[in-house]
Amino acid sequence: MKSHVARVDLYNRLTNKTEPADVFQEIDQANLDDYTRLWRPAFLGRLAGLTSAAEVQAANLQDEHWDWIGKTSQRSGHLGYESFAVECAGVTQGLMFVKTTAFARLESQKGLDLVYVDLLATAPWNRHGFTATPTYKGVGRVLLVTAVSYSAELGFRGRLGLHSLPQSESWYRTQCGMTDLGVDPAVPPGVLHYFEMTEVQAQAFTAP
Amino acid sequence: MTLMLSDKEMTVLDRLAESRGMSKTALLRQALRLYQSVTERIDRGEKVFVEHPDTKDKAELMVL
Repeated sequence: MKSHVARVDLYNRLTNKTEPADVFQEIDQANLDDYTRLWRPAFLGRLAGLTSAAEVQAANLQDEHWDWIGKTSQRSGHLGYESFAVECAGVTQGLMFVKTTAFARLESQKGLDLVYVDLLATAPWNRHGFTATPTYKGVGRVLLVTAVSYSAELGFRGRLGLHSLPQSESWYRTQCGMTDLGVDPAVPPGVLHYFEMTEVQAQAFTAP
Repeated sequence: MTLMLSDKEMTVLDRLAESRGMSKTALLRQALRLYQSVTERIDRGEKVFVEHPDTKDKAELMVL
């Protein structure tokens, strides 16, 4: 059942003001309706003018094929998955799926439980590259902080793991302070970098 | 629900919780998640293996 996790502030770049946003555990039908009604048409409209993979990456659209509706349905009732949504101004601004049955690879924490961020996306209108005037800043950070908090709640001390799309590698490495373990050939299409966040990195990332 | 564990089970739980840096409650909850995950894969007809890091020998995890 959808539950409220936190109230945060998001900075609206268009108005230069912060607005209250809410983080929820468990994506619900209203979030999926926003995806269908707002996100998907935006993706398709932007994709229509693109002709190469490089253009798709530049437009910050490498996740456009993620099946949020299908995965939400398939994973319902599975203890090993949890989903989160960020809502602001009455609209879904970010979505995330995490997997809780995963183990660390980084030598310092090898074999310990972690939260694996399976899917993390901010609404298309918040993305650089997608639009010249993105709206809300910080949705991705709010979701990643939520994943760290969830990891701590489960007893995993904030440890995270994830495979990054090429368009997001720099953000995870420099803005989030995660450790880049390089390309993971085991995960299709064999070009995605695998990142981990340690307990210490999680504390630094979430420090006020 | 009250969970009664034998001395032997409690010893294992204590050791695992300490070695993995988790509380006993957190560890039991994680065990349930993992057990559901493995069971569902088996139910789908998949096989679950563990692999030796050096020899790459695989051993099937038997779940009855």
